[in-house]
Amino acid sequence: MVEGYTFGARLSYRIFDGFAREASLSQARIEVLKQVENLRETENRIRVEFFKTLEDIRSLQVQIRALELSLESARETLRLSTERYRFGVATQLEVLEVVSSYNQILQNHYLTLFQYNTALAKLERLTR
Amino acid sequence: MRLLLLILFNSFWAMALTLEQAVETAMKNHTSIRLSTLELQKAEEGIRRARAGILPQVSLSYSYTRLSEELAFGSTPRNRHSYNLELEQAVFNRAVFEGIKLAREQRELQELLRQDTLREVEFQTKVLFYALLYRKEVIKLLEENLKYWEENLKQTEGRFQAGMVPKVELIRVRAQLESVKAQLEGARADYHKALEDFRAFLRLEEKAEPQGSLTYIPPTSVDMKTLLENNSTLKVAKKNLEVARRALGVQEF
Repeated sequence: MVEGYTFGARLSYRIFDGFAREASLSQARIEVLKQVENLRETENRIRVEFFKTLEDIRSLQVQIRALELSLESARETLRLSTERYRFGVATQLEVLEVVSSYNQILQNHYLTLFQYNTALAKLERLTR
Repeated sequence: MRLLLLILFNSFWAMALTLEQAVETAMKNHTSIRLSTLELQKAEEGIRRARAGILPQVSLSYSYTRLSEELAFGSTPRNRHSYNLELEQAVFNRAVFEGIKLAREQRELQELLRQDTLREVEFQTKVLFYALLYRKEVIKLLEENLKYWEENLKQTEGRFQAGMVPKVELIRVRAQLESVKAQLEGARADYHKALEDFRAFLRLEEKAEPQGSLTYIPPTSVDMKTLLENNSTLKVAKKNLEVARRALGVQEF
């Protein structure tokens, strides 16, 4: 049985790596250029979305106000038309048209409120 | 009987969900948020891995060789055991320190991505919630409409029997009533389908009904500066560029 030990030190330096380093560097530079483009594109897209959302909000606010007035008018027309029909002054077709118009305005009002709330949520999303 | 009542109660009872509760549930349950949390944990482990570059690397190996008598000359031992302990310590490697900085930036990027996902999920939840409220309002409107036409049919029938209106009016009211019934069924089906999508989005097991109504909320003023400073998607894009620059720095060493 022979016992013993060896001790040594190693020093290494790579002289040639088959251009792997240059290729990696080029890839990293391309990645930076890609990210610059991506940042520009994101900034532009967000700016456009922001202006569009603001325009939507402005337009929907006006629409809501108009629909509220139309709704008030349609409600009163419906009440009068129904009364007139009961007393045999108006025809059924007239009532039908008034009801249909009232429902359409009410449904549009809800739809506009939905679009308005969605636009507000979008604005909140963009600014957070 | 009690069991039957319990089954009936469970199948018809639905939890009322406010917008705030829906957003809170989505934040907890949505798949993309869970995934981004895991990605963040992974990035934290990435820092630990990068730090390993400045710590010593220790390895131990053992080998055994047995020589036959023909090969073991003189005092050469027939059995040879060899133990090898290696300790490797980088004295200074700038790339390692750059790598740690890169790992930290990647963790920050993951945190920003998570924030961006949270904002997107919150927005999607709100859109789905408002869409449900809208569908609920349409159902309510059609239900009222149905009541109106049912009442109208009763009156027209009475007037027809009294000979006050021609038969064509009665037929017209009946047709209108059937048309409203069909519209109502369509609206209910649309609502239930949207509700299922909403539950799937929130990953809710139990039945839930959105609570509240669509109202007008005045908008708060925001400017472009706030947008450019706070937008989470833009923050991610900026951080991506920083990380790419850092990665280039690491490659240069």
